[in-house]
Amino acid sequence: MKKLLFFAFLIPLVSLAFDASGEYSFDYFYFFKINYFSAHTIIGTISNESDFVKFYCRFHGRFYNGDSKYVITYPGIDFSLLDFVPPAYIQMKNDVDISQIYLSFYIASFNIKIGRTPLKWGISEIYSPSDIFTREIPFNVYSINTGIEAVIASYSMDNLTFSAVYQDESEYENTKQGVSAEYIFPCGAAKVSVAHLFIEQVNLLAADTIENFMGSISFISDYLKPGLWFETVLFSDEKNKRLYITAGGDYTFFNRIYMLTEGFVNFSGTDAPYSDLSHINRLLNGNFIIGKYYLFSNILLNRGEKIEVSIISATNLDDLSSIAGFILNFVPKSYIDISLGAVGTTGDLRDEFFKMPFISYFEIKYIF
Amino acid sequence: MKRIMIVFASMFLSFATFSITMDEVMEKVEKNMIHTKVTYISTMKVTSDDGERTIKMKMYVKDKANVLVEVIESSEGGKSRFLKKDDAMWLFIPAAGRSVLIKGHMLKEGFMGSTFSYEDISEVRKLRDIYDIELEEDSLYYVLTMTAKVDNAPYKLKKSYVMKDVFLPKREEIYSSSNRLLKEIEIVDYIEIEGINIPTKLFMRDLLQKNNFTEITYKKIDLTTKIPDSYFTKTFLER
Repeated sequence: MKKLLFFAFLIPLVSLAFDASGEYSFDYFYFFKINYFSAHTIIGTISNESDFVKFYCRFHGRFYNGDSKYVITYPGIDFSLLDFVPPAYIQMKNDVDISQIYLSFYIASFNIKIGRTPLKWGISEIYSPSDIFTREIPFNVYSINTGIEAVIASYSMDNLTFSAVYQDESEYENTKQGVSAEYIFPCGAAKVSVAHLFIEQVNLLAADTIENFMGSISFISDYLKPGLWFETVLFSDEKNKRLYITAGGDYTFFNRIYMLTEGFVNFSGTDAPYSDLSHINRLLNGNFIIGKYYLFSNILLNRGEKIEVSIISATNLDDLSSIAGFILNFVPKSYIDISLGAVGTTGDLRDEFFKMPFISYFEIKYIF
Repeated sequence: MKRIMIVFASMFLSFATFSITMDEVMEKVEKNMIHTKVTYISTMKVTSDDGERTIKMKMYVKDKANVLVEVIESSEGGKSRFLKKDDAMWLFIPAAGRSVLIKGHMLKEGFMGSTFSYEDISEVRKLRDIYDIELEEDSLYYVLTMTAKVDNAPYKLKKSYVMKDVFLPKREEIYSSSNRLLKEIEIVDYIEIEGINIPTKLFMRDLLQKNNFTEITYKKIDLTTKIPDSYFTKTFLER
């Protein structure tokens, strides 16, 4: 009873002191001929800010119903020969957490953020190799944007901005530091960054943490009317150097059709056809891609209208396998969003995006 | 001969009168419509089939290359900031911790679902710098027909009906390049500050969408506060 009274007083007080907003969504997933489950998600945001100090907090709760597991499908590998028993599925568990919470101080062109802070380091829209602090799987519409525990400082001199990120956790492999300089020019921006990080590499025999240095140069511009961006990133460890390039563009045709294309090259990627070991290492390291050449795309019809249709895809240009999603979005009111989606792959059994069960989902979201 | 001279003289006089009037009209209209070194608090009321939404904004305008718009309140609770630096407009998304470039092909889209575009909100260039202007006159209005003369003009063609007494447009009509009427803007109210007639209430209707209109009310217009240069930086945008 005391607890209830406490919350009864606390909630109105917090609402008065902070700006609050949130969203609730109900999702239903169907994995073709395997299983189905649903989930309720609530995301809340409270914030309070002046020109000099800001407090921001985003929290979420996700609660599953039914057979809430993601059954992992494997390419045609005889695991018994490798003496390795792969996990059969990932159990989706109820989750309540503070995804972002930070304090931000601003004085005389200098800003410092402390706490669990969201950060996008790279400039590319879909797959940015320099996104070392928060690595989101492209097209994962179901992820909750979680911040990194870090100190982020930035200082601007007119169009030039210097930033530094320090992320130091008890886990050795999470220790990362980076600095960047970004210059805004009349129709875009250019950015140079360097970072120091540790990357954990896992294989069937062992796990190893390797010290890496990263340098990247990128720019984005709409000078030629379509948006264009380019990013080149070099990782270097004691033994190897790995070069990645991303280049992309987007444009809206007739104010209705939005098209985005992004090409990605990993010069040290694995050649197709991929070995059993390549597939297993990808699984163990949680990598999204393992090959060399990729094309990502996003086509959106009726941009900004009540009914939108979008098709998103990632294609491995070595083996021509692909993963694609189709989303039909209906916005009857500005605060209600209804989506119907399906995701499928096109590859053969040994391809990167090998034949996987077809997934469909339904979502209804209410924003308040 | 006399008659011919009189006709020529009257033509010359009318031409001379028009050319002077044109410059005077534009000078006064631009003085009233385009403000730099100014801060506003504005409330945007967006009405559509969905109902009514309200967005409260704070705007800092230093010059045509430096404009900052902060969404400080909205019906959906979402907050964001927009920074215009030269021709580039950046949007900060707090939940994602990133700012994105709103590319040129997106600037004509509705600002936060309103009938005002991103360009309408942040445009502070002089009309004569972006449009070729023709002036006509009737008993009530100076009618300005403005045709885009630069690639990045917000509109291809617009007509402005300027009130003769206060040098503010009563109504503006936005046309497509094929002469189709797309939008109508009406200045409902204005205030005089330091000899400048500043619009305080604007109304825009999108004629391509039924029941879609937006009203902006400007409050706390401040022409005296010195805005720090540091407000127009990425650090302030992403703070």
